[in-house]
Amino acid sequence: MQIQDPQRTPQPESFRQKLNGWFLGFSIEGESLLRGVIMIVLISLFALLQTTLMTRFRPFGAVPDLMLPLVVGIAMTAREKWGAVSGIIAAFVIESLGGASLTILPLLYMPVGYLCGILSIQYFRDCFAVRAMYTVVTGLLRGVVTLIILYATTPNTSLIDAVCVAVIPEFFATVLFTPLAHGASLVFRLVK
Amino acid sequence: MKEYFKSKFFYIITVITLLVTIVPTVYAHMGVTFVFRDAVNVILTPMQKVFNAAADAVDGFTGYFYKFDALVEENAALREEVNALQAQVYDNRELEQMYAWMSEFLEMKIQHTDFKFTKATITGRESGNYSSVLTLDVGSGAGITVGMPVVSSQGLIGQISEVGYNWSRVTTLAEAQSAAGAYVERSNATGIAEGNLALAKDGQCYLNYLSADADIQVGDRILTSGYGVYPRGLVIGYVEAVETNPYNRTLSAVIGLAVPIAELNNVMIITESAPYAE
Repeated sequence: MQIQDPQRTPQPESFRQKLNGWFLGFSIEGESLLRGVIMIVLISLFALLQTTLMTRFRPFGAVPDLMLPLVVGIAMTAREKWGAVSGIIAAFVIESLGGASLTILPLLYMPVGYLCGILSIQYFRDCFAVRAMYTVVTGLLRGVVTLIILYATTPNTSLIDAVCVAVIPEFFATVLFTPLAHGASLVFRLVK
Repeated sequence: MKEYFKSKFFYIITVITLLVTIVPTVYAHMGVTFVFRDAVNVILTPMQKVFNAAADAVDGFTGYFYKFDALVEENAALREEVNALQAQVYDNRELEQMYAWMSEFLEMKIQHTDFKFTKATITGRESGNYSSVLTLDVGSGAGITVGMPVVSSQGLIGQISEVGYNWSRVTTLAEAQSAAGAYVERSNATGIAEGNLALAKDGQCYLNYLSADADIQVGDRILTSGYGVYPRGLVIGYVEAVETNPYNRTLSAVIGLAVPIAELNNVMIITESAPYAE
């Protein structure tokens, strides 16, 4: 007769454990809830800044994209899953507030957030040079997306006009405010 | 690294991304506001008011630094104006100007007795650099619907293009897709005022489709013709240049828009107006 060791008998998973394992890989512990709240607050704050203060001051004659560097900052600080989720939410919020009829930013922000998070784990140590590289590369990608939106909404625009009036000023304005977004995303490091 | 792109998380997040991209776009083209989009605006539009108030305060302070050259010029101009006003003080011109400023909207109401207005405050502006869109603090709760014209005391701003319960969006005439039937007040020559990306940043738009012999000159005032969503007689702007199209022999004019959109805080929405009959 075999006697089962109760310590070695596999215990059935609780509902919370199943949920943790399945629901996008996030745990629903306090830490994740806190991170979620921080993420929502940061995204709302930067969306409000972008649609109010920045539309007034227009550095370099353009409204900077504050959400993209924020997503990159979150991805580098909190890794790929938070990067991807923050990308979707940031894109949706800013498209909703901005009044765009063509919603395309989630297709940029989510992959950027996910990829930056992965690259930060696998290849690049977090340092100034890496953040600068991300800023330039994501800024160029944003320029491409701006051109796509521009041509989808106003096809008769000339390429030179589009680049000179919208893309280049937007790039430099975004670069100018990237340190602010990256700095704000460091709040995630406080959550242990 | 491949495992990151074969994970369950990645598949689910990709599907969500596609849904978040496609559903609001389809809704927008159907002319319906996506419920989550409305929710975001319902929550954040009141906060935009607070941020705009903060922006006013910051702008007032920082303006001394980044607008220094403009302020020096403005100061010189104001000094001249003060001298001129001192000479005219016995003519009560200052009082007349104040009266004129206060009666601007009254004048519009007298000219257009059929107009009914709803006052609105601008809470937000475009988030990108390819559109000229304003967010207002009134929406369907105040009877606002898509297509209503938006004006200031100086003239036409644009039309309501999207409405939520307590917010609405104005697409201005400077926006590249915007168009309005227009005519030259002095000669009655008709054309179509159209927004243009390159001109928008300077507060200008085109007046296109003028006939080759149209009587138009720099300084002419351009008004809405009454065809389309805008009622007749709203001031669009003033002609700044006239160009001949070498291909089809028609004339185009560059119009300086009458309303300086960047300086606006309050606007009026025309909620009712009598249809135009020739």
